[in-house]
Amino acid sequence: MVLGATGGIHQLFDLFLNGVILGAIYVLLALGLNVILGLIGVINFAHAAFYMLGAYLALSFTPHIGFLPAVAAAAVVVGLLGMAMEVSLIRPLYRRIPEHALLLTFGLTLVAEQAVRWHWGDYAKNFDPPSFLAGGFSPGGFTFPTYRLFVVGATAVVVAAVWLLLNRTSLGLVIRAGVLDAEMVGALGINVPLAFTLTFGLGSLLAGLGGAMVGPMAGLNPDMATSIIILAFVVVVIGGLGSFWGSIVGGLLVGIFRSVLVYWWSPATELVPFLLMAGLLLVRPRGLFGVEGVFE
Amino acid sequence: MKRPLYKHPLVLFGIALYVFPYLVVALGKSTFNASEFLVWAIFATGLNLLWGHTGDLSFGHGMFFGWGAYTAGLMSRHVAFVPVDLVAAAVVAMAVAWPLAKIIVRRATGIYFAMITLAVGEMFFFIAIRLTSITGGENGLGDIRLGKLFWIDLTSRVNFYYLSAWVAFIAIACAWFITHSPYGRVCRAIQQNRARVPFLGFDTVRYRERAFVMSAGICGLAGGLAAFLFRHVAADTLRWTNTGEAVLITMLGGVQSFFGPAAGAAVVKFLESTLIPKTKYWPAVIGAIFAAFVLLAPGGLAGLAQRARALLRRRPEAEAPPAPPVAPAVERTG
Repeated sequence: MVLGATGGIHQLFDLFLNGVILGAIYVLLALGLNVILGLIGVINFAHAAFYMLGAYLALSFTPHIGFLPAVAAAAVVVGLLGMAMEVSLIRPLYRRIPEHALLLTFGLTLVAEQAVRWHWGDYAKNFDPPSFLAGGFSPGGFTFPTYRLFVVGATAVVVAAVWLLLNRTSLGLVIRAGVLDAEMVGALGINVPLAFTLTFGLGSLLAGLGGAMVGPMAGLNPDMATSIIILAFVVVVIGGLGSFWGSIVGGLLVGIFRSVLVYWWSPATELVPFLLMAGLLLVRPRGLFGVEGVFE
Repeated sequence: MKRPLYKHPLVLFGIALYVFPYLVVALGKSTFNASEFLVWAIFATGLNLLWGHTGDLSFGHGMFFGWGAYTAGLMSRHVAFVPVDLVAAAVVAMAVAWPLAKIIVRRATGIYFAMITLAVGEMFFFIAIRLTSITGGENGLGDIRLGKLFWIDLTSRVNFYYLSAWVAFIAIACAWFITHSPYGRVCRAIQQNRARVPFLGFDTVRYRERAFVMSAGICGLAGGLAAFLFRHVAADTLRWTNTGEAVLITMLGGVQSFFGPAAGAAVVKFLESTLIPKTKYWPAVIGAIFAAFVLLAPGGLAGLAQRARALLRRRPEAEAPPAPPVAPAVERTG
């Protein structure tokens, strides 16, 4: 990025805004991972593959149904796929150690990546934002690209919706109770397997949504899953395993640090998330919002 | 239990190493492939020394493989004696692993451990591609000198295979003696019931830390051998995708058996080298097979072999005597 005539403060603001947008995507990814991890105790390695599928599906749907419906449809399809995966493949593993689900989803990631290469090709693809979200406005020299504001706004709405779902509905009550003691919840006559499936669907849907929205900003390529999964894990570790607020604060923190520190130190883009994680690991291994004894 | 020396698993393994290249060549691959299979066999056995042994699944051991590879590659320019370079590779990997073990092992177990090791490995990948002057950055490290070992010309692929075989034998014998020592028994107890072992007076963290460091050393050795085999070290060897392949091989071979991962390396790598010319989507095939194994046969090939043996003896499985090198797939609790 070139330090233009706009001066340092404007550039810093740009970087900050970019960080928030980057962070918004991490929030969606980490929230999806954490919702599944919190209730089911499973780390879904295929989460990043769902993210990639969301991006590619949105790309394919857009010419037919328009951008916004395509994003929604991609997220829903990915969510359904997640539910199907939970019912058919993950469920038999609940009685085993949690690593097995991690390994299984790792194998599925390899399959999904090749499926994307087979159907959409090996090369990066461009995905232009729709015309009504293109462009931007710049009051007082601060630039606001419309599409990026849309991503931040949409993420905020989705996060609020997930919070309401978890805290204000009976499904959310079942999920939160299941986190504490799934067996007891089952003993009360509640269909816990169904709650598990729906949670898995919700988590996958968030990944698909994140992917669908990131397409027009960063483009699409079949390697996007392998590079983002690490960051999603790092955000989860920083925020605290299974923690709702941890995903949000962790995601924004990593996004903003990653983006703004480039101003002073250019390798920051790649290293900062790991340094944040390493630092936190030394002083607070459970993560910012982690609960004592959970997954430690 | 007394058994004749020629029935000792390590002796049988040595004989297998001798026969192996003939088998590989008979199946249409080269001696180069045979050496490559051995590199992965060492890597997987090293990973299994931690994973199958104490139960800590590391997704970051590619970094030790990579550190070993870089070390051996750089050393080869100064010391033209391969054994020294290989020992240096193992020592450097262990030296890097020691502080990491101190930081990570006591703080994380289970999937948390897997996630953190994955992230740490990725961090070293980014550091390595930044240190262009040392590692060659994204181009990788070239100019790896492979001279003579005494009078033996190592650039000959056949001679190199014998070097690999010796390295594999020594590495796997080390792993064998570690596994079968009293120390190793405590590690296995930790794997089977982590909560119970401290009540017996063992400090589980120290045992796990040591297992982490020793397994890193063996992975570093594998990396060093790989550097000489390919005469090139790519920065990608540090990435989690490389570890992922070792994890896949170990799981397919059988996590809780001693020779399972080595056998898995030969099988998976053979399959890969057969699939690669046929389809560019080969990782999907391997991934699907792997997922099927996780789902249906978590004991891997070793577990299947054990089941087949139990069937052949026409006894109910419960009565089959446990075969020492292949421990039964015990569900871990706690």
